[in-house]
Amino acid sequence: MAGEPLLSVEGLCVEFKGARGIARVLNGVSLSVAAGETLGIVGESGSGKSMTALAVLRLVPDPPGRISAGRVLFRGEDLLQASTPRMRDIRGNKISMIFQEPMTSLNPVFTVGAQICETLTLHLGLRGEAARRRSIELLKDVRIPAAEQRFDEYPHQLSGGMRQRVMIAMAMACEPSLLIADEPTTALDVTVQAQIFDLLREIQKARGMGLILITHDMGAIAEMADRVAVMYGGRVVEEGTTRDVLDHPQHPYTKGLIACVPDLDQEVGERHALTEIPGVVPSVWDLQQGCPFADRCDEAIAPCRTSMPADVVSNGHRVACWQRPGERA
Amino acid sequence: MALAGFLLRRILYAAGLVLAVLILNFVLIRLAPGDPTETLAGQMGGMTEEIRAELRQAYGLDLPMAQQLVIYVGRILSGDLGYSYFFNLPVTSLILERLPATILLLLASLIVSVVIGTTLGVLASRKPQGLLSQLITVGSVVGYSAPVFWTGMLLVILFASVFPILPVSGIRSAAISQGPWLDMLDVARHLVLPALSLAFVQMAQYSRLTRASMLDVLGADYIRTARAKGLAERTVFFKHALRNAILPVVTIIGLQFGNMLAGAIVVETVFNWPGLGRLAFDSVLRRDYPTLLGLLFFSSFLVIVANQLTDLAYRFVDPRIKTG
Ligand SMILES: Nc1ncnc2c1ncn2[C@@H]1O[C@H](COP(=O)(O)OP(=O)(O)OP(=O)(O)O)[C@@H](O)[C@H]1O
Ligand SMILES: [Mg+2]
Repeated sequence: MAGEPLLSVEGLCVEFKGARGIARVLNGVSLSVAAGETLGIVGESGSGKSMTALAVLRLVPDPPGRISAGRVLFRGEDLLQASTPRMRDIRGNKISMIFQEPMTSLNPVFTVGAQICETLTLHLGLRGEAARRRSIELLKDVRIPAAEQRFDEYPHQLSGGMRQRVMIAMAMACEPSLLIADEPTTALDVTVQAQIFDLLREIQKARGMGLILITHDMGAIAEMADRVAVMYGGRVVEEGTTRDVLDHPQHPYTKGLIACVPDLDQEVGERHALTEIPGVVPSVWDLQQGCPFADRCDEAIAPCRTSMPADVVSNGHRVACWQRPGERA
Repeated sequence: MALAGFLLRRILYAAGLVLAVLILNFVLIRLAPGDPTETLAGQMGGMTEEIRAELRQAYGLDLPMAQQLVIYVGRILSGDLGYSYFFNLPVTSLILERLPATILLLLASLIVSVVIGTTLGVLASRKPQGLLSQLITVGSVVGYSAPVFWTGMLLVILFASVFPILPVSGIRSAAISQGPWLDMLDVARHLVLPALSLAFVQMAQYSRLTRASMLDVLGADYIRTARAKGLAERTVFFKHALRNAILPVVTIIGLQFGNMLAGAIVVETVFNWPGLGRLAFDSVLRRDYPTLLGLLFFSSFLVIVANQLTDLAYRFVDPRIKTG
């Protein structure tokens, strides 16, 4: 990774207040992504992937949620310290996000065109005909057929795949330097998934943009990501180049994840999502002492249950596990 | 084309509904004990059985009910609502004469309750646990549970004796005109209390509904999208959220119209407002069948029109609903 990262998240913690006390949803998440690079984030449901993405843009619902510690450095600027207007200037402009649920992520009462134009007006000051022309261009860029006609349609008139394309077009409106895609294909059928991945890859190449791709699909990671971060229980338990992590997984959880994938050489679309590792993710409400994975881990030893292992880094491959001795940070 | 067909179907449906309401009212009124000739007899200080029989014959009250009904429906179809037993005037002109006062009252309370009610609901949803929100919620529950006549009476007492700054009865102070502007001001002053007491219940309902609907909408995915775009919280709230949250409110406006008409009977009686509501109240006491039936026919017609308009408005504000 050359030079200063585009985005670097350090020790990010997010808490939720609830009837049962305080839930630690993120527990010191650290990761980084450089310009032109794709960082994949994988992990089971509930591991904190979406929360990490939301926290970067400070969109954690507050209350009941709260970012309690950490730094989010975007080109060296700590977004957690930024003013609200500054943050609004970054959202949708410098850093864009697309979500898991294309069916419900667009406002049902406004036309597709109006929703794209809104972003263009907000950040670029484009209005009227200029905004319309640019929106249609953006719709064409994401391969929406009959873009002129789609411009005036409402979200309910489009299929899920088309809606996700609209979301991508909207996210690309201001040519952001970072795109966070939170499971952009989970709700779509397999052929459409492959198309959306192709589209994202192509846009990223063309724009030299940083991409954080959150997914359950190890195959998509293998194909798309330069580096991958594996999350478990609100932590990044392993991180490194995709080759390193997939070929030589260090953390027992990562090994489990990879073992669940039938065959990474299959085409995108023919692969299945992760099958389960026995056991469940610990509840965020339970007070954690040791490694969050200890209860499900075959290799667990005594210290795993009492204290959280620190990160061990060698050759840019980071892992947090008591079974991997080495110089600890 | 689709719209024309849709409208035609709607109109046919509405006509069927009006007819059903008409027949039901007719039967119900005849089932009630008492007879208009008794009232007339009372007013004239008694009458002989022969005269009563003559009157019954004159009004067609001696015929079998089914036959009376057929005659009545036939008359209505030709645009004739009959004659009032009491006023000896055509029911149509009685209604038309009192219609403006009622329309004024209904429109004023509709506007007040929708505007204030939704505004309060929106404010309450901004900080759902905040003090303002709690106050509004309590206020709505009180407003919603208070019967219209009770609110009206309280206002009468308050403004008749404690703060005598607003008139509590009638629609005009002086019978002589003082010029159009002063007259209008005079009517407006008379309108305040009746409109408020009628609006109160509705207001409570709109604010509760708006608050719930806003809270629901604010959790939607597209609100997160709007924030992720970098929109100001104000825009997210008033443009993206309110525009969706208002949809159920629009439906309720139409459904509430019937309730408002019913409330108008009470309010007009309490405040001596010379509209259809008071006419209805008086006609019940007088057993003035033709007037009462005419009023019921007319108000069911109004309610159906209001519902159809709401339906159309809903199609207009919610793009997901297709005509057809
Ligand atoms: N409003 C909330 N209150 C309490 N806990 C919450 C809330 N929202 C999310 N969480 C918790 O935060 C944890 C992380 O959630 P997150 O959505 O980041 O998971 P994820 O990794 O994105 O999962 P998925 O793959 O299902 O999208 C979950 O355990 C979830 O229960
Ligand atoms: Mg998620």
